[in-house]
Amino acid sequence: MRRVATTLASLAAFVVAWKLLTVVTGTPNYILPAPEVVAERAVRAIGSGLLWEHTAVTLSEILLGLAVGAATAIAVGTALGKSVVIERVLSPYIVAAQSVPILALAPLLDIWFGGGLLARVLICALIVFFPIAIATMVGIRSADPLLLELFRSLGATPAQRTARLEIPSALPVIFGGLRVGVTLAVIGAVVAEWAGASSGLGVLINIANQGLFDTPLMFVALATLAVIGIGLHGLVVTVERRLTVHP
Amino acid sequence: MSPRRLLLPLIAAFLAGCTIFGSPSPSVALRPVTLLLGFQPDVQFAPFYLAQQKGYYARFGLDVSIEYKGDADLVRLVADGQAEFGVADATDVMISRTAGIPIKYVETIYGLFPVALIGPKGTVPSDPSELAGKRIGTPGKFGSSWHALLALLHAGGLTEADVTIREYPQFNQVDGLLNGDVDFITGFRNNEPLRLAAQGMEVDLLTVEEIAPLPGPGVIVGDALLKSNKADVTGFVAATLQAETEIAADPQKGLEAAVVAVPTIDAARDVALAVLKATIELWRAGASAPSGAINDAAWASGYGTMRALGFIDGSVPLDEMIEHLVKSSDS
Amino acid sequence: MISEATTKAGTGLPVRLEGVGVQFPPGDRPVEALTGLTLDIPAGSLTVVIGPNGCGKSTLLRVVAGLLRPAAGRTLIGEGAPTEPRAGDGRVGLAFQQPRLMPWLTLVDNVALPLTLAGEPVAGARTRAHRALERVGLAEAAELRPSQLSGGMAQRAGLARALITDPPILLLDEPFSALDALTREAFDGELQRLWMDRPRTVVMVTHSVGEAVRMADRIVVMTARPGRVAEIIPVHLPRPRPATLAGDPAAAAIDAAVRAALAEVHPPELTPWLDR
Repeated sequence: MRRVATTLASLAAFVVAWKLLTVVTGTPNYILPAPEVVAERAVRAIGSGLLWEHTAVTLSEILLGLAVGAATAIAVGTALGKSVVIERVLSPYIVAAQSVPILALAPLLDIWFGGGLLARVLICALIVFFPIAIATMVGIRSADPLLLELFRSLGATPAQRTARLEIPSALPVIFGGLRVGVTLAVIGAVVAEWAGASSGLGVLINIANQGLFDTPLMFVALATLAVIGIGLHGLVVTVERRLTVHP
Repeated sequence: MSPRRLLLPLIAAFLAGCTIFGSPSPSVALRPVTLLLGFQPDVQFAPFYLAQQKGYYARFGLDVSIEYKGDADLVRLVADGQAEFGVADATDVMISRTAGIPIKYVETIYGLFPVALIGPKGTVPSDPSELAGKRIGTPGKFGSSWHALLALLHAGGLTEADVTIREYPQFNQVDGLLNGDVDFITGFRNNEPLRLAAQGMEVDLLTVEEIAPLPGPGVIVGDALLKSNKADVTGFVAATLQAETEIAADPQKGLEAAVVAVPTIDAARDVALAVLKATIELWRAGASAPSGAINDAAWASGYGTMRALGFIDGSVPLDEMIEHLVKSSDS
Repeated sequence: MISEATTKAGTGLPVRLEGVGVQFPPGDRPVEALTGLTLDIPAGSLTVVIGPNGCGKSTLLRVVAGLLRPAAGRTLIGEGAPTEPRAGDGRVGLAFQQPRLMPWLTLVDNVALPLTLAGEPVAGARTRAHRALERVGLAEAAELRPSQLSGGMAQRAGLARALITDPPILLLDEPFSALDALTREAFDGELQRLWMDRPRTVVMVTHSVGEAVRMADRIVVMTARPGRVAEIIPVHLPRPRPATLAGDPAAAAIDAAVRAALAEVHPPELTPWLDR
């Protein structure tokens, strides 16, 4: 209950600061809309179904992208963590893929994969991949050597070692990677949409900004993305608390 | 907030003091102003380059520096006073003014609406109702290309749902036409047809003038500037029109001015000159010289079309969107 | 005459090391941890190995546990047809200096680990683990996590885990050295009781002379690195041996003998109590 109260209080403070900023600087609503203008626009956008229509698309891209990206990342990260050889072979490609700006890659990926939901899920998965894979690799390697020796003394198979020792010990670090990954997934979905989608919150931002000159609506889309990111992050933290033990 | 906001009034006051006691001459400090043009340097902006280089703006006490911005930002920056002048699509002026952004359209640059429907020679219908069921490529569902396309469809009794739209966010819809992914594309009359011809495809155009007239792009200023410094605005408009007229009579002049401003144009002079000549036709709209005056008939018709299409709701009347600073030649 | 006959007839397996040599790391510039170590450990006996740090005591245990393969010599477990040690074959239970419990498992799941790794169904393994915890007095703590336990409780849990497969050989690597002296004496007593209730071969490493005298049938004194057996001192004291053993003259004599043996093979700095 206290956590909810603090969150609400901080949210209220943020809204007040925002309002003060617009009043003090005298910025017009078409550049920085005041919070009540955005709220009113949000109510209209929700009522007309416009907001949900685009949110549903982006949410599906994010969730599928996360699923694909995180699953691949944990598998690859585990392989990287357990085998120095694999790490040496794969690292250059993984780092290269991470270093090329996704904003530049996205249009290419969009064309290669047929420009539909699949392409956007893959772009999203690509953005999410790196931090989770690296976190998994580090986590796997951080398994306590004393426990590794214990497992050896009990005759555990390599599969048992991975499943019952290395992955559980890696979970706290993996969840750290997932927290980052979840917020990146939101960015990834928007970038993917900008590469060529016809609906979604990223598209709505463009429509509002360039097509409708409706800055409050653009802010509504931005706020919705923020809410999605916060919600997903909170979900990861909750799952993390249930699955890991904090000593 | 840009510090220029505070600086400009001070400079303006200083200059006002200076100019009262002396005629405007190069030795008097000019008021620095910013002109925002769309996206990137282009030979089509030759009148502005020429006017600045030849001192036409200076004659009215203005030192114009040019920056390039996307349409959406451009409109907001001019409205907010962070830039003094801009060139924008008339249809975007209608939408943004209705959305509460305080700008006004003060001078016509393009007498003809530059966007048209383009298709391979012999395939383009003159009746837009025949577009039903066709595949049409366009950059995206915003901007003057989109407005023109919907206006044409609307005139033929069609909507977006009656055709297949394919979006080309990288503005490469000519590729779609060349490889047959689409039947028609939207494009700029002084650009895409030339590119297609260079690739070996002769084309026909379906333009809006006879079907659903829309006003072409022009100069915009913010309400505040118009109120406080109307003389600067009329000066800018006059200087621009003078340069435009000169180039219409002698395109080479415009090309040279563009090369000075944008050295990369030098590498493709022939192409640039061809584009410039096609552009001049759009400025002149069939008259002997570009007039710069606002085309009230096109504006009225366009306002009605945009309203019918649902882009504007009519809450802001047409006369709040434009300011007649240039006398039209037949009034 | 007090002898091994006072203990129950030994179950458990004998261990024999012949000329065992171990090097770290294998290959160039190796450090010799053990060299030419020969030792017979009778079935069911409680042997204590003593020596200062670095003499190879833990290495010796790892060889018997099958965690290290000696570079020289051989180790045999069992009678009749003795075989080399193999980690995880169930003949050896191992308790370490740190409890080495998995932080994300409850105590009962930790203790059941050797069984579940061997493929036993979880329900049955848990039942046996509960009983093992009862035997070391930790029944109420079964659902706690390691972070909620005291050091002593965690060590006891580690012991319960080592015993859950009822191995014929139990190896203990300084199991109580991290605990305070009083708790240590108590645990020694408990371990002795467990062993007397159900005899098996026990090899315990320590660097406490008092603990060695309290626990052992035989005390094996090791040399400094590279380690081998320096002396074997039998301890014919009656069991059960109380914690107040120090006052007993026979025990004091054995204590002195052990210290003398240590002094002979170790640098003077480590045995400051002796006059030279």
